[in-house]
Amino acid sequence: MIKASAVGLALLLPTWATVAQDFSLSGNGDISVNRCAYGRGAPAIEQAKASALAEISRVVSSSKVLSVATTREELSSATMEWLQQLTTLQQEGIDLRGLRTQVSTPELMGSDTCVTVTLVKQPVSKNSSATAWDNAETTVSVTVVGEGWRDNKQGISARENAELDALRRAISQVVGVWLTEQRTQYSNSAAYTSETQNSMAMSDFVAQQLQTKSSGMVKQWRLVDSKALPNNGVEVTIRADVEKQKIALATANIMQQIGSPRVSVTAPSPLDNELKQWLSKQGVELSDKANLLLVAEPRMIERNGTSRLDLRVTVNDRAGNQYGSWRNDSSLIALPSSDTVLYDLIDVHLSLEEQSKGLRKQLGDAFVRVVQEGGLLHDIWINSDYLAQPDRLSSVLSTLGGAKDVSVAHDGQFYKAQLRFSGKTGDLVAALRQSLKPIIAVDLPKATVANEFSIRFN
Amino acid sequence: MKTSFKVTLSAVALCVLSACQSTGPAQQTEAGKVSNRASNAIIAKSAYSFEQDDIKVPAFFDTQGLSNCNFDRADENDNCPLKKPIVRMYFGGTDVGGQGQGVDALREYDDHQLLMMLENQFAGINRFRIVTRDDETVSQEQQIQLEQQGAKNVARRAAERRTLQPDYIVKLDTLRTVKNEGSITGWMDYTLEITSAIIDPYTRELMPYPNLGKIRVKSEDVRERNELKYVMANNRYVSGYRYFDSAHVNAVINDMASRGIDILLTRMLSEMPATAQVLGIKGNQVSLDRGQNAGVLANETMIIFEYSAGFVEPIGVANVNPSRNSATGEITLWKNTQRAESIEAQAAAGIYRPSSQGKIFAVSVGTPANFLENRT
Repeated sequence: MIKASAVGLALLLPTWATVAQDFSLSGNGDISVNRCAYGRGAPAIEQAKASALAEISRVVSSSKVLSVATTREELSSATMEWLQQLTTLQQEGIDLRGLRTQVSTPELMGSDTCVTVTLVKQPVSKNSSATAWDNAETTVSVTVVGEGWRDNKQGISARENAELDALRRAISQVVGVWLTEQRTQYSNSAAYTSETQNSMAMSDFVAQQLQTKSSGMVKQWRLVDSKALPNNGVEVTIRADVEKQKIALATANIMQQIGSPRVSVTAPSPLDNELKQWLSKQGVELSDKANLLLVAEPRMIERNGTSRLDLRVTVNDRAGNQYGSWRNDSSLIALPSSDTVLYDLIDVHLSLEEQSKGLRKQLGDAFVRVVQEGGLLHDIWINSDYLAQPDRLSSVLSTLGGAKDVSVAHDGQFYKAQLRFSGKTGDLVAALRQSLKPIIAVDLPKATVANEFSIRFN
Repeated sequence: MKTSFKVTLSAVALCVLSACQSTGPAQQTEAGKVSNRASNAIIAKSAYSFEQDDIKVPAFFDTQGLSNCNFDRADENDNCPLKKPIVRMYFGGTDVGGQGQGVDALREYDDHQLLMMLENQFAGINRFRIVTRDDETVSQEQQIQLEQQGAKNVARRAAERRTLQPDYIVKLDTLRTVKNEGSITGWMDYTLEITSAIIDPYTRELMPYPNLGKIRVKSEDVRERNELKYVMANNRYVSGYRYFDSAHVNAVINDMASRGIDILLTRMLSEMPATAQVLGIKGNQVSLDRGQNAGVLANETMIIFEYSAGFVEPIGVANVNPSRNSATGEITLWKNTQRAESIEAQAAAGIYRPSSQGKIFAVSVGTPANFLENRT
């Protein structure tokens, strides 16, 4: 009898081991996924969490969980019912955002930071997972759970961290609902984002952007519950009223940046025209003065009177930072060498759905990355005559809301500042006028905006 | 008595041993002449001309693992002995060194068309899957399809049907030499030597199999000596064979190369015989489980043999004709053995179906008798 069970277990083990690479299912129905992201610190943790959440969403909707659960005899009927409910909800397109998850303490694995996200067994209903977006209301109320541990470096207590986490989740949840509502309007962005990351990860990403950029998204909140977690952690449950219009505006702004930043195409003829046509079809706005450059370099591989196209496309800004790159599959086709062969080859390569999709995905990723990095680089030229305290320029600019990576250089008569800003250039000019006030000698003249990324106070 | 018998036995044994030693070293080798004669094609005898003593299993038969074959061209099992390697063919750099009469014309020989011919001939015998190097024709066709079917269709088809990735390179190295004899009336004498190499392009290993040896073709094999004669006066060409004209030289070299390729094909067919399993025998009629798909050619002479516990027992010889996925043949002569007679008797009474303990196979003996007439 014992022998027979051992053989049975041995037969089951390999199947379980393969499945266990994606996720693990505990005896009480909790689904855990471990994911890692390159790097250290909060961005890496957030990325790993987003990736783990996305994976949970994927395994739930693919019925993988159910198929594994059916092989596990020890699972109770209540657990099976919860898993069944979960899969049905996800397959119906209802976001799992409202569900409570637990995130493990981050672990370092080589160059990666890893976290395990666990979707704990909990009562679910369609109403609790979907928050209604009622235009008549100015705020939307959500109940969320946040976790936090003490951060000695920044002097933030475990409770504060837990509250911040909960507020971020509240924003994320509302963003998720708004994105679902607005999918048709931002279909272009949605096309990018659905190919780059799934909607769950996207909402987290947008929420993260919103949190770093602005406060006041949450009108008010109250503590519903609080309990201690291992390692001196705190878990809080809060009820938050989130400002809908602010969320909508800010999210729309971010989605617009991701979905349709202006791009300038740099490529030899006739490739530039072909690419411009293709980009227009994809809904990407073109402008010769845009800061984001799409640089395409074709190379003809010639052999025995035939030509193949090796096409490399990179997305750069004018400062030379690269945000993405794509390369075609040159082995696809060879055509007889002629004066017009480049047209034909581009035509064939971009007609192939996989290649077209690959290029679109890389563009989407690059646009997302631009936003992740904190927006595009802007050059600000200020005549040194206007500055009373030029030594404070760098620190003042660093305090600008939404500005990142500030660097200042002195170039003859001018101070040249470079910074990333994710908003509109007009907003940046207004913010500059406001924040530079304490360090200027005379009133700043009207700014000259040479192009989308260059502001001059001559 | 007993002791004296032992002593006598020992003496006899010693005597025998010493006598052996006195005969000298064993003669296991003998001197052979290295020939530089032209090579000839070796083809199979017709099954109808076989005699009892000819019925023997030829070399290179491979019966093990035949059951692993699924005959899916695109995804054949690696353990199938009939899996056809994907190859690309090359004609080795055929530089001709030196100066002299006719050397320049010989140097101008263009082997591209010969390569195309080689690909075509090799594809027909179905021992390899050949990736053509005819880029011009292929790209031309794709260009026409692009014009007629549109970019989307061409892109989709091109993505679905990718170029095969060769496992090996088949490279033919040729050595061309020319000499002229005579004075006022002279003649050109060309020699073409061909060796083949199967190379793994990644490990760079030269594979030992199939070993096709060296093929030597002389101009006298393809042209009468009169046709290559010319007349010189004051060290200048006057009339006769235009040895300095590359078009004329090409004509001769092409014929020589073509003959060389024919010989190469016959050697390939001997080195890589077609093997099939016998499904049943009814009277003299034999049914095989594979045909063209395993490289069985028309009018193939095949030895039918039983394979059991590592031993082969020839049963007879058959003349086989293939269909796409199977083949049927006629046993023209049964081997004069007890086993063969027993099978013959059972086949005469109905259908003889080989058992799993004594599987019966058919292996080709080389190039079919009429192959050179009909296919080269």
